[in-house]
Amino acid sequence: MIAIEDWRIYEHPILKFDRGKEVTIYLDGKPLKAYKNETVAAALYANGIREFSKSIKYRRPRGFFCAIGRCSACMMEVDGVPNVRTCVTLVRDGMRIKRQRTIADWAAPFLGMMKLPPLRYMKLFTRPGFIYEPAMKIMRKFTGLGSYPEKVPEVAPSGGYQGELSTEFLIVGGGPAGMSAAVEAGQQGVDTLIIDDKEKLGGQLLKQTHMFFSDVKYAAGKRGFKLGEELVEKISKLDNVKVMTQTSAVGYYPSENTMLLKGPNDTTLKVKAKKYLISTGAYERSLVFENNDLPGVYGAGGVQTLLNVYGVKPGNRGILLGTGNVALIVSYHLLQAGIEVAGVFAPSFRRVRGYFVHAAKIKRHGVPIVTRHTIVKALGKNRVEGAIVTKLADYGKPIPGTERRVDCDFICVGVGLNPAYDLVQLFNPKMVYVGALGGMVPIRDRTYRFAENAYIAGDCASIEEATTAVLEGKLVGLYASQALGHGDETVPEKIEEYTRALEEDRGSPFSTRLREALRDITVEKIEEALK
Amino acid sequence: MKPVQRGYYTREELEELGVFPPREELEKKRLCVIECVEEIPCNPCAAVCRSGAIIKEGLCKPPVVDWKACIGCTMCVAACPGMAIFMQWIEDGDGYVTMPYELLPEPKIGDRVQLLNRKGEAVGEGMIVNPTYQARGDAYPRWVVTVKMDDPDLSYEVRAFKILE
Amino acid sequence: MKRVYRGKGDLGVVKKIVCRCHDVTESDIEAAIDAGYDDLETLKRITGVTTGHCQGKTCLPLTMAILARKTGKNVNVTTKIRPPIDPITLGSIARPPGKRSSKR
Repeated sequence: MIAIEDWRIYEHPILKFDRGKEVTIYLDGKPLKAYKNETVAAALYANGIREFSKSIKYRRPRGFFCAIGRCSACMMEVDGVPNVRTCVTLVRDGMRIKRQRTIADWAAPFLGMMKLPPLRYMKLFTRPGFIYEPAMKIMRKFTGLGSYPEKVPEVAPSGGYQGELSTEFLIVGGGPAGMSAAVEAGQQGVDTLIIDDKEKLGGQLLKQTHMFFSDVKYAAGKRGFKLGEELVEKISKLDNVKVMTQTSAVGYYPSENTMLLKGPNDTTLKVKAKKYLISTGAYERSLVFENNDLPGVYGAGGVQTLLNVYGVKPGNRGILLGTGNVALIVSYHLLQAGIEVAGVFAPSFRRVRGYFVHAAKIKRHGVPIVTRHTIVKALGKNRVEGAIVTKLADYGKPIPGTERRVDCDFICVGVGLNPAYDLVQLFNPKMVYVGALGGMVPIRDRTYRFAENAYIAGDCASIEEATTAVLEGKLVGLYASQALGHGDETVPEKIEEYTRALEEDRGSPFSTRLREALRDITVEKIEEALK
Repeated sequence: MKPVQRGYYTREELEELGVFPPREELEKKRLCVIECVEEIPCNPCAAVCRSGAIIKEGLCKPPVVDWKACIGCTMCVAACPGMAIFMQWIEDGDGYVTMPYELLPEPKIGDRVQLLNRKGEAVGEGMIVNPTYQARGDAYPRWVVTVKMDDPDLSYEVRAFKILE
Repeated sequence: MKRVYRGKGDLGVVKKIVCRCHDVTESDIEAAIDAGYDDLETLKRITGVTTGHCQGKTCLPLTMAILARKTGKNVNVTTKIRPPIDPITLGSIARPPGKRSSKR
């Protein structure tokens, strides 16, 4: 089918990839080379496989978008279990992976010829009433993701957990904010549990190969993955901080003050904590353009994961969409991996919104930065083969006739992040939409509490730099230990120091809108605001 | 178009901003040139400077260089997270630029390089004279590479290079 | 090389996908808004947007943007969030405590 390809990066100026032992996995019966520390998606990708599944309705080819287990475009049948998110599942020797097919895959081209106008299918076969039921039965066959497994899949007997647990402080999300909070709370003697849905702590820090800005006292001058490793080490030294990886929060039930966690190997755990910290980070923002679901259109985080965590090239020549630091940093990461960047296309008008120095360091390596441009269409049948970009007039309207084709084999969407809003909302907070903070965020008080027993820190509180997330996390760790009756006499001192540092960090003209927005949504007493 | 729109400053604009040291100083010793003009929260350059030549009035204020105090130690080149600090000097009619380098292949003494200016255009060829892998403890590990070029005027332009095979 | 691109008319043929999980296109949502489903909860029920496996992690902001653009209203709501927010097998909830395998 596909010739043997290897998209792995073996030489990198900064990173060394620890891939582990070589294993063999089978895709639809065909053996593929993989390494122990790779996820299924990364291993498939390294072998040149771009199409992971077919979409539910139009049977369009899909690859992954986010690569961090958020978008569900990468679901496949793994060892007989259907609908497994391959981008967060690690490979195992002899693993059998199947693309999920239904009868609809063959019927799709014919159904596509019908060219139904939008929402027309909602009214198909609804009248007369008696044909609806039989028609529905037939139509259901032409949709869906896969089929039921023939036998009940066996779950690996070891690992995972079951039952209940209680702790003082539960931190959901092991990124910069969560880990810093765990360190501070742990040092104050708080019984802490930190969970993360990946196989190791670190969140997005692990993908950052560039050095951070900010104050040298906190994180500046360190590369992101180093900072992550440092925090992990600090946590491992604290006996009262428990770490659970490959564990995600499924729900929170306020009446019982219980959080339900999902662990590895299909296990669940109920946790009762006195205080919660939600530091679940953010979701990648997508962009609506034609064929925006083609394999080869990725989120910036997805590209970073492939490149810097698994050492797999997303393609040979790509374009970046976006205006902020994310787009600029990702294009630098691509350059470091030896991948050509055909251009950074930014829909913003006056300037690239990221820092000038980030723009300058890719510009001097010959990457064109094109402002006032956006993408209208991704070209290609089963994978991206090019893109059509257009110039924008004022107010964001495309100018007709300015379309041009850019050759590329992947498109990276780095248009920004939205704070993760879902787990936060289960605590019944007061949510507001604040553009300057990235999206829907809860109203919080000075101690970062957004509900009676829950704190918020990091990108899900406001989209900012990792360094501010670290400081916010530290502050929450201290506030929580105070509230739990732990902290020693140094706590108020530390709180003052970190608050000052945070203010200084946000002192640049870039953060003016953010500062004002934060002031607007911060209240004196959260209990009163929630009434 | 403003520099922030283009992603680069021209030499003339930077001269107006007072980024470059006077020419006669450059002919005497290696001096740092900081092309960091925005107010961003950052201070590793001032923190690593042993001679106190880099002054930041606040965390968000752009750095100011005291060229009399600068000893050309290149610590700031290694430390700048934005890769915006360079070293320049002129010796025997040759221009020298010290740049941070985070790409492949690894630089070696005597490597011929293609010189790139701030726009990414090739402006000539040069030679690597002094590549060092700098790291202070675990912090700031990065190649700091000095490139020699025939035209001293080019040293005001060259900000990146590509190692030729 | 410059090539001029001529866009085709949008008759449900051009696929600008908003919701990847349920294949909801931009024109689906626009048609639904035109048909009168102009708030997030009804829009979600008629088109299926934000009800996929990912529970609106990518499509909710996009839908809000389309809704705000089409209706001119300031959309300041999200959909009602209910657990489970991360997909979970029924077996893992239904299984008696202490048993790990989902074998019956």
